[in-house]
Amino acid sequence: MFDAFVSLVRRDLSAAVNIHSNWLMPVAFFTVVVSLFPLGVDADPAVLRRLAPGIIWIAALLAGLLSLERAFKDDFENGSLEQWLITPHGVYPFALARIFAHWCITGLPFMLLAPFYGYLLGMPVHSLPVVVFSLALGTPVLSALGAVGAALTGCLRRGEMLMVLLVLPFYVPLLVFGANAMDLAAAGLPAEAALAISGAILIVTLLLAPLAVGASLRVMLD
Amino acid sequence: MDNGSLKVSNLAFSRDGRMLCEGLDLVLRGGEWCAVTGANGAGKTTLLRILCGLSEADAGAFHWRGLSPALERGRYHEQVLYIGHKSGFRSELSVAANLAFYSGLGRARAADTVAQAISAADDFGIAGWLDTPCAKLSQGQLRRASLSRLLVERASLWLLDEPGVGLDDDGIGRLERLLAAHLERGGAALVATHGALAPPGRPAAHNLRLGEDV
Repeated sequence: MFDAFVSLVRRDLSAAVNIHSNWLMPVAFFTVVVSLFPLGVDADPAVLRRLAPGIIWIAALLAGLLSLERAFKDDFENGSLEQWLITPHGVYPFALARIFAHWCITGLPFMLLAPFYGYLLGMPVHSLPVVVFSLALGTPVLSALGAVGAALTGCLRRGEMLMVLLVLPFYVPLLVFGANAMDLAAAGLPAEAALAISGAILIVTLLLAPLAVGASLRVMLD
Repeated sequence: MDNGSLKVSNLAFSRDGRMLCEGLDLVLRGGEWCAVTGANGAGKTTLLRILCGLSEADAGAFHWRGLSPALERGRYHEQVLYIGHKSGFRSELSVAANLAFYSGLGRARAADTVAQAISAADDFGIAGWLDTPCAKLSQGQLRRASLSRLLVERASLWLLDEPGVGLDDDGIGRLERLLAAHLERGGAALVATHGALAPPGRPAAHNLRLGEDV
């Protein structure tokens, strides 16, 4: 079962490396969204420092969605999906692998870039570890919940908009607690409580999302 | 229960509310193969998808070597290999990378390494373009590549949906010899086909014609 997981992660990542747009696009989009805020809202450092956690989280959320839309589409078209459903391991390791691979090309680079952007937006240096930690707990949830939405709509011809509408409401708790943790840290307050809730959301999502992805794919391909 | 055979009893299936087949009974022993024929839309693909566990039948049951996908999903899929119209190969990866992926799925020939499994696939005449991305292959080449999974993975029941489409005479010949060797080992196969497929010395034990006797 672990072999199947590794094998799909390797396949996904080597495909992502082969096609530069796959891994470059989310990072570029993340950067662009973050850099638009100072232009559009206000360049006043005090305002930006106040908004920085929300900006980083919303940018991560949108950039993650951007690449999810095709998460299952190619594999549906080339027939890989139906082969996943009929392997000896079942679909669970594949769903988990797809979520992990998506996180590697979105959440992971966001997490590494975020303290840099946070600093540029004026967040105090002592809060930057919390920025990383909050995204480390939160971005896998973005990938996992997004994968459920993508699995439900991936085989539809115009499923992208539907997927966004379906998934975004589920991101709300994460957005609230993730940005809250950064806020608290920036104000010099303890952020453990908000981080703990993000962690709890992460555990529940990672356990259940692959099951939901598997069930959706089974229904979609029947 | 006879452990060496595919037993289909009283199977009924429909597609989009249209009844395609009712009361289908079939017994296929190890070493036998069954040709599934019928007009377009007669339900050949639907039948194969039900037998490989992708779709649900409306009624009836089936077992291969005593296993059914409803009860022992994992163990059933170790035994059964379905190759449909779609290749299941990612277009941006090479043939070898795609085959390596499938050989890691748990049906791989036990003693072989991935490299050995892939070199076995040379029997399908694909050695020349193992490193070519699948997007650059022609229809027939892609078909050969996806059929070479039959060499890389070891399953006892093959479910092939029109495997000959796009193949040249040489490809058909290789497929027929491969099928004969599979039957020789005691495997069985259900093959949906329009053209005639004649594995040397192994005529089809059954000819299932869908869409007529309903």
